[in-house]
Amino acid sequence: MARTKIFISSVNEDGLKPLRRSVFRELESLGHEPVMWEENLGPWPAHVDPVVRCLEAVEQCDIYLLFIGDKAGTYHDKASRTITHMEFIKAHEEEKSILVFGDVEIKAAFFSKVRPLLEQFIDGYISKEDRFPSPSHMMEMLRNDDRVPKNIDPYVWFLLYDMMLRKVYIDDLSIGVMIDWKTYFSDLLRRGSLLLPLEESIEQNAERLDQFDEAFELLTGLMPQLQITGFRQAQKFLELMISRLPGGMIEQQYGQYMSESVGHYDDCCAATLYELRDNGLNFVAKAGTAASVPIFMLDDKSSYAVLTLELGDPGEQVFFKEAKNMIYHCIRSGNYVITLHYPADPDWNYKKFIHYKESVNHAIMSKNPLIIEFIKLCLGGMHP
Amino acid sequence: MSSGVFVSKNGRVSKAVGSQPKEALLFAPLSKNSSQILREQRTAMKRNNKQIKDRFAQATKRA
Repeated sequence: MARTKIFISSVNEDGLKPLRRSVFRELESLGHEPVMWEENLGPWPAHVDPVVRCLEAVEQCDIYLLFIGDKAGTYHDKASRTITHMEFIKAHEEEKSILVFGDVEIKAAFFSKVRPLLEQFIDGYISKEDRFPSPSHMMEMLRNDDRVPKNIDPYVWFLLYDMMLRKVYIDDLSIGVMIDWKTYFSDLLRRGSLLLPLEESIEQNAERLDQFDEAFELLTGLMPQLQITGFRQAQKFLELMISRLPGGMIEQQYGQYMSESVGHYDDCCAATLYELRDNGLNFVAKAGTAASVPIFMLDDKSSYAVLTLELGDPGEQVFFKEAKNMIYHCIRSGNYVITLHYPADPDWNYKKFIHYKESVNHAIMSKNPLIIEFIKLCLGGMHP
Repeated sequence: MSSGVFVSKNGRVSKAVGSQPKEALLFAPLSKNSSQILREQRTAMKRNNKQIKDRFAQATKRA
């Protein structure tokens, strides 16, 4: 019967050595298969890269177990990370079960002193540089700040901060106090036992999702083969559409894990549809509270519909107007330009839009792309 | 169109520099359109689906 393979990771520092050894023995006696560098992972022939070998071992494990003390371990210049940190990142990327134990005193110092300092530094750096600071910037700040305990390697704070961003829980580790592994693994068993009986339902859902995706793929191939001659009820078409377009949060992303909410926008409240005909964009229909004009001339650069038309077919653009406090998502497909109106929250003004332009674009574009693609297919297939 | 923010004012489009009137229509070129975003989301969904199936296969395998 397969046993649970547990990768035991930590800096090979003197303070953690007895703990590592005892954990290895206890996990083995409980019937698991622990893997640890000094017991059964190394040494390797000279041509084998030890970092690669360690990362492969993490990849092959079922559970990744990490102990954090006051040393950070070997720093790898090219990766700008320690080897232990790379092992943790590998386990996280591979979506392994991760168990982390951090020295209680270091944890307490991190959450009470170091984390607020780091966050203050990061906020200041972002407002000045408009990007997240690099690990070396953060460690330089930590090294130079007298309020940061000097007996701890600065990289340890960076590692803890990274874990916090990735929402990894850090359990207490008191040197000399044994961890109750039986209880710990009993809890893991309980969690797994809740999910395993759902295998059939989850797999059925996964199959259905594949089928829906296949159907959508077929639809995107079939639609361009049709000649759609027009609308039966254009206003109804727009009404149905806007009822399916919810609002959402606008988030500024800093790197892979850190994001900040910078505002929100409400559900789509209106839509307009114009058709390119007779050297102008002619009004077809509207839904909701949008204003409309019978025709936009093609040289009218004050019209978002005309500006979107100029992008080519298909084309898309997001606009913002402070006077209306509105975000407009304009989509050109074929001879049509459709505009979806999303009310912005009252805090938005031109300065905020300029500052968070990419976040606004991303929030609008990534919220309902499946519906937008379908709208493009419908409008692009119209040949009255 | 290059990066930055553009503004449509009084029927003319230019780079948005300095303060802007409330009636100004602002826009910034998109880095991805909705078709590209949808492709990425579908790829991620397929990867997740495969991972769920693989994990269940591993979990229920008897050595």
